[in-house]
Amino acid sequence: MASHARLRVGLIGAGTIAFSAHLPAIRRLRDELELVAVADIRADNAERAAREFGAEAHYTDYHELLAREDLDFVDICTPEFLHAEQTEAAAAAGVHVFCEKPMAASVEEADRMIDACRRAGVKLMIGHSRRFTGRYQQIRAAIDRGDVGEVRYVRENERRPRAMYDGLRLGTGYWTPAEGKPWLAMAAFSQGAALTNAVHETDLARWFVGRQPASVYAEARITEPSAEVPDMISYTITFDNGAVAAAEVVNQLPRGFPYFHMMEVLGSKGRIRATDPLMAPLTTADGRGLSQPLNFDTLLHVDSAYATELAGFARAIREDGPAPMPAEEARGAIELSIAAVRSSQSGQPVSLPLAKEGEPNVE
Amino acid sequence: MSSNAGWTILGDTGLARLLRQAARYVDTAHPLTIATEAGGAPADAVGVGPGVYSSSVRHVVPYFTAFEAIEEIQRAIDAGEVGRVYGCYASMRVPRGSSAEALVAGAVGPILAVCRDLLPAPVTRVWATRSSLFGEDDAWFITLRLADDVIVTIEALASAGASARELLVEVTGSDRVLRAEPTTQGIRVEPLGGEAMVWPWWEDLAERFLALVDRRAADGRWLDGDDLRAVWDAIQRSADTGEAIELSATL
Repeated sequence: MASHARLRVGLIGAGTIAFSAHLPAIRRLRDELELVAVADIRADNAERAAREFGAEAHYTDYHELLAREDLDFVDICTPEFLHAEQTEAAAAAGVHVFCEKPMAASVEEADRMIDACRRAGVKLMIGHSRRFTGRYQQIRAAIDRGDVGEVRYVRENERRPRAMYDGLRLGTGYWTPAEGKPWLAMAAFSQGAALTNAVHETDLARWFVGRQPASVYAEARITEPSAEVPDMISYTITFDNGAVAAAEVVNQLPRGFPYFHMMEVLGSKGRIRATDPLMAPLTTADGRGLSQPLNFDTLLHVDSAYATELAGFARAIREDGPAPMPAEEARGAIELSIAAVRSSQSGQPVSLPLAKEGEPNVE
Repeated sequence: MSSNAGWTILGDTGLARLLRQAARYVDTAHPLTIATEAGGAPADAVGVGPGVYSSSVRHVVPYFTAFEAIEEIQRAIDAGEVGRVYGCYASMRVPRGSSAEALVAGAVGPILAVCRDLLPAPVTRVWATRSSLFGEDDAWFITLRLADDVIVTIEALASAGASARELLVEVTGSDRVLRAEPTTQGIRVEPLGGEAMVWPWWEDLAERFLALVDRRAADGRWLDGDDLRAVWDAIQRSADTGEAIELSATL
């Protein structure tokens, strides 16, 4: 493994999450990180990322990137069904792995990733950005201080405008293997909202409750007629101590609807509520009434979260310490999200730990 | 004739007394009987309150539908302004320490009725669980799938502050999202060095409720009592067995 003043990074998958979050974060950390190479199956995306973010090389085959001998770690920003294969290849090349969430498309794949990195002696961290966002770090700190006592209930309702899907249709970065249809909406590549973004909620539920989930019930639906996988899910998790966590995630709201994550934690001694959605920084009034056009984008600073998580991973490499978030935690979120998928498909609650594919797991 | 004489309020509940008081100030063009308790109600009575779940009344109007904010959601759905409705998240909280019975009567029943009134498509699947978060059976989590694929997520918790009742209804759709939080109307007292306190003063619903019943009578639009009780029965069975209950329904 190379040793340089700055850690040398190779990025695999120059799609939307790379351009919107990871590449800007690497540039922000220019004193610590150097982007040396980019790989993407779309040559134009790889070239553009290298040009705009200052990498010296770009490839259409990530194996060529891994063949370089000067990488300290790879930042994997591809769809989740590729994460296991690419992580195994990176580990075999002796390179540390930072990988965008969701960790994998199945628990078995997540286990393969953990096993491959352990055997190769390289670090593995999954980018669960919310754990590195001030809002959620404040909540976790309040829980750790004992401000609300034992956590008994966690709810986060996530709301997204359909602008995300407009971007998909325009092909601005997202991989679109079928004419006009993004991979996120295709059953061959995605299991829908349960993993795409509700994996944030399953992770936060586990992080805040701090216990093992015992069962989950979920209902999911397709609201976008052209999609093949659900873009809305509502689930309820029961933990082994009777605590409950729930989420309703809707990804196809009207254009202009602000990103809005209602967040509440109830504890034995009180409650925590994220108040940022209520505290609009700008209110305007006209003949139609009041409106708050800058309600939320201004307040949820997720951009810095990506830099924070990458900086933490870089520190772990430099100091040979543990990654800020253990990969096993991300595996737990995957297991819970997969359980939610199975519940929504079977119409019955699913118990945890999850049985292997093909074995019965319905309660 | 004083149209006020058109109201007959049955029952000896606190709600019945409130409605009798309010009836003096609300005109109605037709004779209307309102039943607030189970049993003894005529077939054409309008049911309200927890009694509707153990009665046979066919016409129901949920009390909290009278909140102006809830009425606005109803109007927007009816007018097609929400577009394709995706789902509804509804939460009702009563003070922590409330008994299991008080939670059902004061939160589970009312919020279920509000949701069924707003989104009356037949229920195809029900899942529910009773949880003990801070006390025995002090939380209900209910998921309904409707025949038009709408997902209704309901929670009723005995988790609020001592003086509080909290109601939140959020309907999401392709063209609009509406979130009603009518019980946030209040004052917040923040003593130095002490805990902040919120004192609600949300509107008295009794008069608005009677006016709503009068309008419903004119429109002939009621929440079907038999449907509401069938869904409630399925919810209880699901909570007892831990299994989702399939209901046969067609649009």
